[in-house]
Order: sequence, then structure tokens, then C-alpha cells
Amino acid sequence: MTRSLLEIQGITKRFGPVTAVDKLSLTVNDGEFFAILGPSGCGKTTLLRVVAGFETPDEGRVVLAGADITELKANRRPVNLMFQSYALFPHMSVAGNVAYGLEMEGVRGAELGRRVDEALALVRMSDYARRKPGQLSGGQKQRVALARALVKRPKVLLLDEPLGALDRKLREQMQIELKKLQQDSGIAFVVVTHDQEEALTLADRIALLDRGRIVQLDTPRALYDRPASRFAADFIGLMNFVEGTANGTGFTVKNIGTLPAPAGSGSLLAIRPERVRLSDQAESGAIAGQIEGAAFLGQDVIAHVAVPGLERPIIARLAAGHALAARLARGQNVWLSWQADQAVLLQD
Amino acid sequence: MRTDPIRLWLNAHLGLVYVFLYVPILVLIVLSFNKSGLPTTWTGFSTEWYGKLAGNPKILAAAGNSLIVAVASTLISTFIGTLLAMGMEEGKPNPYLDALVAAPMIIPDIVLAIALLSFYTLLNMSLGLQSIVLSHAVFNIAFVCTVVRTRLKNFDRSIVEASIDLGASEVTTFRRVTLPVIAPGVIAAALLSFTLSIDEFIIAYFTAGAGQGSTTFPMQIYAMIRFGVTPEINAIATIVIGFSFLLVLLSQRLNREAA
Ligand SMILES: Nc1ncnc2c1ncn2[C@@H]1O[C@H](COP(=O)(O)OP(=O)(O)OP(=O)(O)O)[C@@H](O)[C@H]1O
Ligand SMILES: [Mg+2]
Repeated sequence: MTRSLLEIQGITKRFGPVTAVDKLSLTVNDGEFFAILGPSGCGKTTLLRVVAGFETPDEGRVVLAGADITELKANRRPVNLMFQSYALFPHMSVAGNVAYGLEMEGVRGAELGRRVDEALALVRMSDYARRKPGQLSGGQKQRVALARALVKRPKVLLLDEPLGALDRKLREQMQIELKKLQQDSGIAFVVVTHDQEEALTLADRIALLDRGRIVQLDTPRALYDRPASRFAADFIGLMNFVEGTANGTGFTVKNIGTLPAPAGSGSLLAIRPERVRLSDQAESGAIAGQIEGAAFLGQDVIAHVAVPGLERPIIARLAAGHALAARLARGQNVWLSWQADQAVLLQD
Repeated sequence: MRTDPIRLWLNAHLGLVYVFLYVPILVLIVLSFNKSGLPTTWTGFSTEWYGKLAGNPKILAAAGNSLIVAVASTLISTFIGTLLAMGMEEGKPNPYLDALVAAPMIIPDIVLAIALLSFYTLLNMSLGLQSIVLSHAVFNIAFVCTVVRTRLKNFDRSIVEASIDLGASEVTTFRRVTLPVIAPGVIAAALLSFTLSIDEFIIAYFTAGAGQGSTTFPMQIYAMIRFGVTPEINAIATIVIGFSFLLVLLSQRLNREAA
């Protein structure tokens, strides 16, 4: 069923001495919600602009639905880009903005009106059709920009930080709407974001970028549970790192002993805070530590546990309803443990 | 309501400024309707001087010349100046280039006049309305470029890319996106060019050549005023004031609509 739609083949883009995108290859499937995630300046926008046709790559090809579009001009590519600033035309009404792309295709008259109405209804902006962009809120602008791009029924919709300008609450609401729009329209979305939570929530697959290269390309689950490098583990969510040596059945740490770890090799053990079990009773195989501080986060409690022999405290995350959660006190002795298969071995 | 003494002083000051600026103009307008034509005695309302003006072929010809010069130089300078502004905003910032483009606004008119005249003579160009148009275009381009550039500074470049992304060609993008967005700036620049050109004297005087046929309006008034301020001149001045006032209103309205 999964058919490859957009193929980015060995793209390199340099700006003078800076290599913004470095021999990058990836494939986006039909109807997929694909996220490009990475820190600021890692080349996300540049990659989107290469696909949209606003930057000419120094090397590599862009193939869309089997056709090489590397040389095609931006206005002829069946892809649309939603700009981070939304880039609405300030002198046109909302309806005028949405109609513009269709007019360029030669759509006229009743057909034009119908499709504009449809697109505005889709993003629930029908009541604002006559307004100018200057009279809209950030969330409304975002929806108009989305309608303007979607109405063209592109093969791929590229979105550059589509929710970046919105406040947190609106952002969460729009994430759900965006996902729904993508599923209903069946159009492949490629969303650029530096917000890992957003990528995890929205995407079918995520490409994690660092300095113009893909560090890891995986489903959100796999990226979260099985990060392949320290960078990936660190970038996504909270992670505890312990240095030592894998010995086949465990992980040996100087001054502490052997910690539970999966089979394999590596010099870095990574474990998610929510995988760490906390107990106030001594247990065999558990590491002894002392509570350094605890923070209440609503649903969860985050506890920092100082372990003698480790430079940094181990972070544990407990559900607020957990028996221990309410009585964590500073200086309290606790024991930490986790299941071997829930830790990840990394090469550093 | 308590009156703030500072406000009171400010208002009084503003009043005085208005009096200083507008009383002479008001006197001039009133005198243009004075039957006797003398600045000292009011002998009744009359539009006689306006009638005289309409029957004066020299003044009419000069006014016609000025209109031709103003319209032609405005068209040329608006076109070139706008393109220049767009090019300069697109390219790397270059303070030397900026200074070079702005120079015609700062160079004293008399110097520019002499320079242009020498240049035309060097080229063996025949002087007349065409040379005045060219000369006015020279300084007007600088003004147009400056005005349009301020507008372009706030111009969001991404809307140009958005237009292309939606399938528009570069020409369509210019016509339907760039131009409408910067239009208030371009029109304001054109109005400014027009007013600057229509009352420009020194440069026109130097580059008009010897022929009577290329006398502009300010040159004609200057010629007439050598024999004293005649009531006809008051009438002309009143018309010019009315006209300028309309232009100012127009440009302010355009600016308000753009905001
Ligand atoms: N037009 C340009 N000229 C020169 N350098 C550029 C240009 N565009 C991008 N760069 C450089 O290329 C690198 C990647 O930039 P890019 O905008 O793609 O990053 P990004 O991942 O989108 O970052 P952000 O999350 O901050 O938007 C950066 O080092 C940037 O400075
Ligand atoms: Mg970016």
C-alpha cells in the first residue's frame, strides 16, 4: 500500500562556507504525515525550499511521483509551501487569498467560488471570507494559509513551522486539526518543526536532522524508545545517561557496579525517566540514592535522585497517583531500578 | 475639566504658527478677488483677474508647458525610480550606492542646473522642453527611489515567493502582489515628483534653452514679477494653492487607506 511519493536523493545545498543540507536522502510516502525535526540552523527550512523550488541544490535530485522535478521552476511544481510567517497577501480578502492559486490554474466563475467556499469551510473560516489578513488573529491566519495551500490539491504540502507562531494552548488545538485535515485530505504533509513534542504527536515518521544530515529516520515510537545516538536520545524527551561498559548481560559502572541493560555493546546507557522505578525499600539489584529534589507537574512528579559515584542525578518520573509521589522528601533514601530491555545501549 | 497650562501654551503656539504660515496666503487669496487690483484698498469682489488670466496666451502656454514637463518627468522618474528602489532593496546594502542615488536631492539646485547644462552642451543636445523633462527626471528619480524604498522596507518578501508557489509567473506576481502592496508608496512618490517639478525654477531656467516656446510656469511668473506683483499673479498663485491643496489631500487619503 505504501507507495513512495517524494524522493529526496542525495541533496546538498551550500551557502558559501556553510553546508546547510549535506548529501541528504529520504523518501516520503503517499498520504504520509512526515516530520522533519532538528535544532535551529540544522537545514530544515533549506531542505523544504529545495523541494518547493526556491533553492537550487548543489547536488542531488528531487523526484516527485516518479518525475524528476529538480530543474522545474517553483511555480510549476505540484507542491505547495506554507510559510512560517503565513505570507498572506495583505491587500486581498481571505477569499481572495484562497482563490489566487486557483485563478493561476485558470479556474473561473462558479467552480472557483465553490472550491474557495469548500476550502474555507474545511478550515472553519467561512465567516471571515471578506476580511483582510490584517483583521485576523494568528490562529485564523494560520488556517487561511492552510486553506490557500490545500485548495490547490498539491501532491505534497510542505509546512515550515506551521504552529510556531501560536501560543501553547492554540498550538495543541491546531495540532489535532492539522492531523485531521491531513487524514481527511489524503495529501502527504511534510512538516518542519523544532518542537519534538509536536513531531511525536503529529507524524507517521520523523527524520531527525543535525547539521544538514539525517541522524535518525523512524516512527515516533521507535525514535522515542530506541534512539540510535546520544544526540537523538537527548533531543527527544528527557533521558538519563550513564557512562560505563556493556558486558553482555549488564552495564558496568565504575564505583557502582552492574546496572540492568539489554544484551549488546556500548559505552553509554540511556534510560527514560518514566522507565525508572522508584522504591523506598531496599531491593536486590537496585541502586541506592537520595532524593535531591522533586517537582510536581500536574499529572506527574519528577524526582531527581543523587546517586553516589554518578556525576549527575538520575531523573525518575512517577505518576502523581503513585504511592510514593506524595511523600517524596529531600534527603530521603530511595532505590532505583529498571527492566533491562527498557534501557538503551549507545555507542556515545 | 481642568485646563493644563502646558496644553494651553502648546495650543497658543500652534495657533501662532498657523497664523504665521497662512495669513500671508489668505491675504494673497483675498487680493486675487480684489476689484481694484491694488494691495492697499478693497473695492469689491471680482473675478476679473481670473478672466484676464484665461485670456493671456503667454500664461496659458507656460502652464501647459509646466504640465507637460511635470507629467513626463513624473512618469519617467516613477518608473525608473521604482525599479531602482526594488533593485536596491533586493541587493546587498551598500551605503556608497545609497549616497550616490540620494545625491541629486542634496546637491544645490544651482549646481545641478549648471552641471546639467554643461552636460547637454557637451552632448550637443538641443535645449527645450525635452531637456527640462530630463533634468527634472534626474532629481525626481532620487525622490521616488527614497519614498518607494521606505515602503519596500516593510515589504514582506515571502508574499512574492508565496505567489510563485501558488503557480503565478514573475510578471503576474509583480502585477498582482508586489505592485498593489507598494502602490501607495509609488503613488505618493509620483505626487511628490509632480509637485516638485511643477514649481521648479532654477534648473528649468538653465536648461530651457533660448526659445520662448519652452517657458515654464514659474519662469513666466518670474518674468512677470519683474514689473511688480500684478493682481494676475495673485490669481495664478491662488489657483496653484488650490491645486497643491488638492494633491496633498489626495496623497494623505491614499496613505490613510494604505495603513
Ligand atoms: N540564504 C542564505 N544565505 C546564507 N546562509 C543561509 C541562507 N539560508 C540559510 N542559511 C544557513 O544555512 C543553515 C541552515 O539554515 P535553515 O534556515 O535551513 O535552518 P533551520 O533548520 O530552518 O533553522 P530554524 O529552526 O532556526 O528555522 C544556517 O546555518 C543558515 O545560517
Ligand atoms: Mg527554519
